Amino acid sequence: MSGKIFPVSMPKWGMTMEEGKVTDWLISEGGAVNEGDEIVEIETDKISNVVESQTSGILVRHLVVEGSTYKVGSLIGVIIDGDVKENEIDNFIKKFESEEKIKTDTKEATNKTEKLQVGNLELNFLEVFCEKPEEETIVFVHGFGGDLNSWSYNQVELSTHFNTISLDLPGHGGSALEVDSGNVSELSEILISLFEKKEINQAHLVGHSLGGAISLLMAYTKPEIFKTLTLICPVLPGCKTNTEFLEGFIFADSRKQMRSVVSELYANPKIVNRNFIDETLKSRRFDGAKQALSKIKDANFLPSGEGSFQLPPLEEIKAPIQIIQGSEDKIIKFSEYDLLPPNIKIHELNGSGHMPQMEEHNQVNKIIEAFIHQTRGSI
Amino acid sequence: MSIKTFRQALNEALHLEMSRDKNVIIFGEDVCGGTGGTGEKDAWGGAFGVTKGLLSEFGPDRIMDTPITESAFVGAAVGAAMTGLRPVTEIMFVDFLGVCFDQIFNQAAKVRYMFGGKADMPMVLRASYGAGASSASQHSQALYPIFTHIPGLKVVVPSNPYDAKGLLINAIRDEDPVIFLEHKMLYDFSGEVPDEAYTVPFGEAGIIREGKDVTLISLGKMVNVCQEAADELAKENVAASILDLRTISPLDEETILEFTEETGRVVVVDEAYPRCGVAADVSSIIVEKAFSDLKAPIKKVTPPHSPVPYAPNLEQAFLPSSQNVIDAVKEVIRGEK
Repeated sequence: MSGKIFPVSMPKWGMTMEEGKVTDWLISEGGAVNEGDEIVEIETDKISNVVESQTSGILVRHLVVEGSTYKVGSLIGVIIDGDVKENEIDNFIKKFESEEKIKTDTKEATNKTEKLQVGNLELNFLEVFCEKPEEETIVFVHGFGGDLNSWSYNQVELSTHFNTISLDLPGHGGSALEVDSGNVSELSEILISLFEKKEINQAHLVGHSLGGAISLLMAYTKPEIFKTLTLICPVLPGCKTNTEFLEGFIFADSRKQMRSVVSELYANPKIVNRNFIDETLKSRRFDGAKQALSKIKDANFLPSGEGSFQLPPLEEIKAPIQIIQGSEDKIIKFSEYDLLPPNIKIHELNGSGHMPQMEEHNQVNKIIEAFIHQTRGSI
Repeated sequence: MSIKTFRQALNEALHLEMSRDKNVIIFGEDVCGGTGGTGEKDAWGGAFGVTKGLLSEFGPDRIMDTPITESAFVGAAVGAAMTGLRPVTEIMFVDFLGVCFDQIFNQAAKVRYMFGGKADMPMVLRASYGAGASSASQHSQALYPIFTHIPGLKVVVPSNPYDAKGLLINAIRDEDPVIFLEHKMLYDFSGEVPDEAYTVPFGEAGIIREGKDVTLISLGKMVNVCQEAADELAKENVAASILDLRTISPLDEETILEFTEETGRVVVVDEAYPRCGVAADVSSIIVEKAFSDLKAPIKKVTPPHSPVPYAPNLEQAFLPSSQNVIDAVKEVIRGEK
């Protein structure tokens, strides 16, 4: 055999993903692919996305049919590069399937969220540890109205080199719905208490949207703990948040309404599937959920969409800061990049809306990882 | 979040609402004691154990046993609701509601309309329904179409514990009379149910799964039958969507039509008698509003137009099975234009 055979397998996007549905083959059987080409569209219980080719060659086999669901890790296609005989492909498939069976039989239980009492609040969080326990920790802080599932595409991925923890902010997801004032300083203090209680004394912060502002305050208050700061589409002084979106994200009460609201989050609204909308609606239908979100919204945003809270000047934050922006963000408008301190690196991702950590997760993960490695030497 | 049975989910909903609002009261036959009990109150909590533990917590002023006179205590519920209480009345079997049609059809359902919208009627009538327990013809019917026929009533038929809890909470908070029917074979069926109070709204069908080839529209216990059928069909590469209507009044026409458009093939699976039933009603709506989306005629899977048999083998033959659903799906696929 002078050529090479490469598997295309069902990806694992996020902790809870156990299977995925093949919705559309984007390359037909026998078609040529280049590295990075979109091969097949997969829908999970959360979201739809595409599998990119890890190699160049010919997609010789579609092993699964559109509309059906397959386990994570199962072989869905085969790519060859060079001269490969039919029976070699058949043997490859047989071997892959028998090995995969052993792997799935011995696979560990899916990661489960845990709860911890912080003050009088119960907080829901998810830890995914790296195999090397001495590694540093990445902390993920989601934005307004979201939950720890905002990091479905990032946490597992980044846990190959880091210990990771994501959490539900008070008033969100599986955490207690009671908030006192609901403003970002209160929220950042609660999170700091969580980390003190968990004895995490070195961590890298990744904060999205309002979670960016919260992360900024945490880094300012506890420079000895938080070593780097990655802000994704953050709420910063001088930015304007789409308040119509905030209102709709809390109060939309039918699938139709919620779909039109949630679509605003993404550059490509097709990424939103029915399950994601149902889950968002479900979370709003708990007693007290809408009130908690309203309170947090009113405590942090003026009717104009400007933030009503004070953030420390970015120059006074010790941790190196980088910002990841979506070029088509419809939620937060920020035009004062020129006024930011010059040492803050800004990555603008094309084709991404307000959720680059989902829409362009590969790039975002690489940017986060590179940033932490690069700053390690200087710490 | 923990795993709870359908029965526990309902019990939790009653608990939470009675704690939240002192106007919520419960009465019915044996809701304190229970059939088969030793006469000791609170030992059973109704014929199916749904109200167990409520007496000791909320006391005899808020949960009481009634004589075996549905006509009297359903009438009492109508009166109580008009005075501002929120009665949740348990009728052992929906089959027994025949003796109080006037109270339900002419009083409860008409109050808001005939008082020009000035009166509320926040009452819930809970009852078991359905076949499978060999309870014979007078204790096994799926009579929800009769109530769906009457404007002014809301009709709820949950299929799983999560929905049962959220729908019952929503029913108790609703200002209109709600007929809430629980399939007796589902009480021990379990699933994930959060401990907190939450609602599941009326008029929004549940999307149990999505598949591009055919849409199975169903409710109550028949949703499980559809799931079994869809699992089998998947092995033959037929991908089925399943809609769980959850409430048939109001009915989520929008989702029904949306899935009809997406899949072009529809099978409606209903445990009620075939004439003037939910399957007939849903089919007529689709034909009237989405005929051009259909690739083949709709199939209905229902029991025959016959009383529910007592003999277990005949009862099973009477009930729609997953095989009946699979056959119907294949027929729809074969019958394409």
